[in-house]
Amino acid sequence: MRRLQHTLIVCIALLFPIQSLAQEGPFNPGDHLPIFSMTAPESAAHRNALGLSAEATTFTLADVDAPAVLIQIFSMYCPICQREAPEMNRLYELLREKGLADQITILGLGAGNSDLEVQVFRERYSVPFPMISDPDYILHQAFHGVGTPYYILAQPTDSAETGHVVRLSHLGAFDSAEIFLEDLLEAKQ
Amino acid sequence: MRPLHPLKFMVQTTLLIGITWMVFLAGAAFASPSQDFAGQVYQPQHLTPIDSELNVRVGDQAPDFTLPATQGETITLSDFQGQKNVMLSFVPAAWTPVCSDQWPGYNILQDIFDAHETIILGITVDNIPTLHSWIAAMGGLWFPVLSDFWPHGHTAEVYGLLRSDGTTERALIFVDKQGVIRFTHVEDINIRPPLEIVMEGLQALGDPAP
Repeated sequence: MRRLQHTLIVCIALLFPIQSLAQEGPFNPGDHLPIFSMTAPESAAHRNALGLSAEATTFTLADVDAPAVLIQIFSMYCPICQREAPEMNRLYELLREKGLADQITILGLGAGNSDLEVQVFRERYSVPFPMISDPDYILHQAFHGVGTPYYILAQPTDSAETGHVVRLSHLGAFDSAEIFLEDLLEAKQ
Repeated sequence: MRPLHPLKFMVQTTLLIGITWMVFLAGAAFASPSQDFAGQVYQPQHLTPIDSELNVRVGDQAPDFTLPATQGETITLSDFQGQKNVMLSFVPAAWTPVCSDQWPGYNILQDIFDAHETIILGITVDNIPTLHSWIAAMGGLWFPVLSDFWPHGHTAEVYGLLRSDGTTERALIFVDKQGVIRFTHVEDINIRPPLEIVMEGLQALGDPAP
């Protein structure tokens, strides 16, 4: 089934003219994110962090109960993501130390990563925030198939139909959790 | 934003332009090469998923080979008999996107492989200097990588993994401490085998011999 999905995606991707990809690339501040559905995490703590009910099986960003979401597109196979994992944990701790935990929720999306791959990455680095698998690159494509790691700070809009609006878009590693947090707070409205 | 050093700004801008081009050139744009490799990795078109016929079966004695390794010595498969299980990880070629996105992941699995008393041997048809540069760009690997460059792809051919264009299939062959093949998997060359497959192979090493 997974193989079939892959084949279908490859076929669909090949139908699109190359220009459609050329116009994309990373998002810019002010862009609206597409609306995409994610599988709800099993862990009660992670559901709680996202403000999801115990019954929810899938969710969208609109369901996330937070004034801002920091999305990290990562991969277990990406050396920068591996090196940066402790800094991301540090960022999570900083938000708590500064009493900003309710202001920015962190959500990891494992581009092309299976459940096991996300689990191995999470356990290896003791990642405290929720991470969602994306084995067939569906979510990754919603983010224009950019390289990893990729960070987006997004905030809800008044209308659920228009999707979250991008406040900060950062491709590649950041320097330090402290400086990145300053950037995030400056970008956030 | 904090002010950027002009050189850093230039480097970042160049990187961004490179990435934009990569996205432009990528076509199906599937793999998400780590930003480490931005601009360095060749982007091939979609390739025939499997282009050879596997020559070995579970229960066979693994064909022995001796190949040069990137660390400078040669490695012989049968030297591991009685010592370690071996996972042979054939990948098509250095500097290609899915491969550059496969072995760095195995870097954080060393304790899992240790627990299964298994060593990884990476194998490609590239020569040693190419492999050396490529592994350096990946930030290093804990397991040896072997060069099946000359006679070109001979080991891959013996295993039935040499493709018609001289690259190899993306394959995992698990060999137990008796030198017997316990699990084989040939993946679509365009896709990275999910970790679930690696775990399945490691589990098979622990099963009673066929």
